[in-house]
Amino acid sequence: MAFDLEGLYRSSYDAVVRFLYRKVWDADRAEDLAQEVFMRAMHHQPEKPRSWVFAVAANIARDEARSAIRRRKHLTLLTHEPIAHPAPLSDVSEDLERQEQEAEVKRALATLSPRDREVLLLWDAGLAYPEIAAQTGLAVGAVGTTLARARKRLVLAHDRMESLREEQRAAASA
Amino acid sequence: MTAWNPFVRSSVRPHLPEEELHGFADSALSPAQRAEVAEHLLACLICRAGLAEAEALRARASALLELAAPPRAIVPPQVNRRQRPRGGPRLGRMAAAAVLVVGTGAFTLLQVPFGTTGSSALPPRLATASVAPALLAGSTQEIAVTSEFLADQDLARALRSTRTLTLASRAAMTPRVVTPMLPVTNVSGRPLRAVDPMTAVDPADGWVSTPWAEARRATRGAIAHLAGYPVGAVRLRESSRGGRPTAMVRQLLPDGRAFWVIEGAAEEIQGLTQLFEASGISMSTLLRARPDYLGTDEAPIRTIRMVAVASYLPVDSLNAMAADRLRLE
Repeated sequence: MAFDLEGLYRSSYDAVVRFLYRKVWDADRAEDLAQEVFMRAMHHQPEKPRSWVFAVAANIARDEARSAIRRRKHLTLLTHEPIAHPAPLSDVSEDLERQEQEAEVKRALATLSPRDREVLLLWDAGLAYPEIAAQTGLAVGAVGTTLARARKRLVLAHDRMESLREEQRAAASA
Repeated sequence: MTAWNPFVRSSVRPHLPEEELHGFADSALSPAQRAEVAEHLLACLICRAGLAEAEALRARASALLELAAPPRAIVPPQVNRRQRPRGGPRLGRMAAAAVLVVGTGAFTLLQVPFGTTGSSALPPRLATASVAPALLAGSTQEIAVTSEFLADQDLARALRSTRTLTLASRAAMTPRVVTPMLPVTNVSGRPLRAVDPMTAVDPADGWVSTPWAEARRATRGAIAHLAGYPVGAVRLRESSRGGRPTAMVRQLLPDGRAFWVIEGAAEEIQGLTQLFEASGISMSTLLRARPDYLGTDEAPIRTIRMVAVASYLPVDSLNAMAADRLRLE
């Protein structure tokens, strides 16, 4: 069967960017890395392109995380310039609220074990149980268990943070 | 020593494990597993509650992840994105989350495809105790219909834009505790947990969620319903003997409670009656519906079709409703 890069690109680009974004937490970086994933796919013409793309994305994100730690040492002395996002629809307070919410989800995700997190993100990227199993090395039967646990932990962790935030708010207003 | 007996199975495994419920919700089970789970769900209120919980969890986790998405709506360069492989899930799951918890907004969404009556006439809440879990459990399927309907509409585009995603996700998150399982007491005074029989019927069993207009066509305009109530959803199943499909129509009372009108060949209705009884839902007296004529024009065989109204309401009320409002076309 011919390798259909355009079809793969169309069907997976969005999901790959989201997947990467939740690892690098930077939209531009995530898109750059996604581009690289598809460049590699074009080169390799993998047999199971969808699984392949996410496996490569996970690897790239891991490398990225390592180099980010190195880079951060240099960056601490530089001023942090905010990136101007073209967001005609949003106003400032909404953006702040959004950022706050995102930070909470990010922290909630961080409380998960790496395996649980990976399975959850792969599911959210649209992979089926067997594909998730192949990529994480879990048995297909264990994907459901892992996913159930990951969902529960994510929601619980997030709820705890939310109630904490509300308490702080109440304390601040009192 | 003891021979394997298929009938013992259910007593050996009293309730479904959580991962199977998640697998079921994710449509990730093998057909055999799926059938087994569906069979168990039909008979077990506790596992249906478990499934509702798993679905709520699944929807909330997806809604949370939706909050942690790139800030801009992603449009791949060059390629004009018309379809996505599991685009249903993305929009669907997110919207499902909205349905679970939002209330008004989601309710309006649900009303969009059918819109028999203005949703403004309805109270701004999802439903009363008896329907909330039903909608909860059924939300994924319902929304699948909705998002299909929305496919080419402005609303779909709006939903995809970042702002709306944010707002919808935020709305989805506002009530933190999903407590769908309010005890309901039926006529016999037995406390029950409300279930939507529509979600208990298995798609693998041939039940297809169908938009109202489509259902009218498929039944040749003869779909039984109560006049004057908005239609929430329709499930149709091809009859094994041919003729019009068996139909189950969910409609809403002005106070938000749901009732179901079932119509089909007598033997099909028999099975459904059992399903309803198992769920503790009362049913009106069976009435004759429009008969079907099968076979050739020279020697048509007349099949008897029955219709009934079911809900978590006293039987007398159901009979009165049927007498007053039942339309067979």
